[in-house]
Amino acid sequence: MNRRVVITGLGAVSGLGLNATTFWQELIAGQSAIRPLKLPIENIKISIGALVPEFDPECHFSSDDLTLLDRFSQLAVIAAREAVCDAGLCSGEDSIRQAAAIIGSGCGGKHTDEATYDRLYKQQRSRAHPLTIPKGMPSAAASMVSKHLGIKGPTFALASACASGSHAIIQGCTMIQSGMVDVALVGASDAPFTFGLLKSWEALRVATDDTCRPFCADRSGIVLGEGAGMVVLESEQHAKARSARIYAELAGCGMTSDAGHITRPDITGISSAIINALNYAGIDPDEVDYVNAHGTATQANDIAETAAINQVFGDRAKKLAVSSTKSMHGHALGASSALELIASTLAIYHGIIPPTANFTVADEQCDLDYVPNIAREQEMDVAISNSFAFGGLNSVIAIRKHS
Amino acid sequence: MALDKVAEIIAKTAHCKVEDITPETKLEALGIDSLKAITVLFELEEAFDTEIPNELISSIITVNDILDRLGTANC
Repeated sequence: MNRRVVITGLGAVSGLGLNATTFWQELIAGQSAIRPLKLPIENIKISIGALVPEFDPECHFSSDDLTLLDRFSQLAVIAAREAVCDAGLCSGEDSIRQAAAIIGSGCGGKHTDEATYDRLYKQQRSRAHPLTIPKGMPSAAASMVSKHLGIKGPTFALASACASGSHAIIQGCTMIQSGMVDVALVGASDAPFTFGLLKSWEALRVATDDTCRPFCADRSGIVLGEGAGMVVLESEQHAKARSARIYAELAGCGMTSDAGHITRPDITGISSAIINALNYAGIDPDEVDYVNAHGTATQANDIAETAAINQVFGDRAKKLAVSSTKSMHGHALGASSALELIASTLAIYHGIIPPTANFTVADEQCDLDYVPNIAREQEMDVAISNSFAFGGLNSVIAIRKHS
Repeated sequence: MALDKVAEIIAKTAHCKVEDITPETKLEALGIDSLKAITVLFELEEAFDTEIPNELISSIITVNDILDRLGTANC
């Protein structure tokens, strides 16, 4: 690795609340944000989800700004503001002006797109709203984060479904390592509670009406969430020069593609991504303490992920703490992978492992320590955060306690 | 009156008072840039059930130009 990369700022908007502090407090309390949906949408079977609570966009943006902000951009900007502020940086200063902003999304500006489609297809109106394109485009959140934070460095969106945030963070990391930038604001945002998307998820038959119970025998599928997770990455040198608080080192990353089934996870693809991340970081499997699992609570994922962890870690697997925080913030698509890296980072920083909530009894093929229901205090040196997207796109980030 | 409706639409996008808008008011003076202008035109087309062709847009400088294009200058 050319240059060490460290994590210095965190921003989290999720079903658990509007900031990273609330996110973390709720996670370690084992509180799930999954609630019955009360949406003004009829004819949908999906009945539960993790929406951002008590969210009033007008408390965060002017009415003029809101004309260009799809909900996924709103969440992105709020989380980005928090991450930059948390890093002790301000818009307008050189560090931010020259920074990169890589903002992933699994689904982009669907609220905007679907409102226009509803006008055209359903209401049979002849005109689309003129801001549909700039507001709904997949890169809208990246542009809005750039605009609202004053970031003028390399800025673009990145899409890899549910691994979008993880891939965006890795992209920022490699840009810092290459020397292209010193600072990168990276993460992802998703706001998937729209009629068309809910019907589409319904059709995939992977969403449950129970709750999200990763790795449990009675798990019955995913629960959708929404939110945004943003992280400020810096070269260690840059962070030290300004005496920044360092949460952890982003030690390594591993990415693979299954080149196979579009939705069924592939054990080899997953295990290879984990191995690549550890090799990149120069970390021995025996050094790993915590795995923040992809843990969607689908039948296929949890078995495949468990098998891959056993394959990579061997005897060490039984000593790992493995938890899925999706049980609490839901599956916020691309944003989930960024939120989960934030959970992993705070776990290392505070020495507390967030649990797998809603845990009942482990599936017989899921034989690891899933930290059921209650957070665990444990000093850790190394954690990995797993993200495996539809389409077979696997991304794993290894983080190490900074010393 | 057409002016009242047009002024209402412009004021909504420009975030100004309806009373501040007269036929002679220049859109640019209200902070209406190209992006806001297409939003105003969209709202006008919807409200007046008409089409404002793209080639006429560059000639719209003042509120009165809008009234002309709508064919409602004398309403």
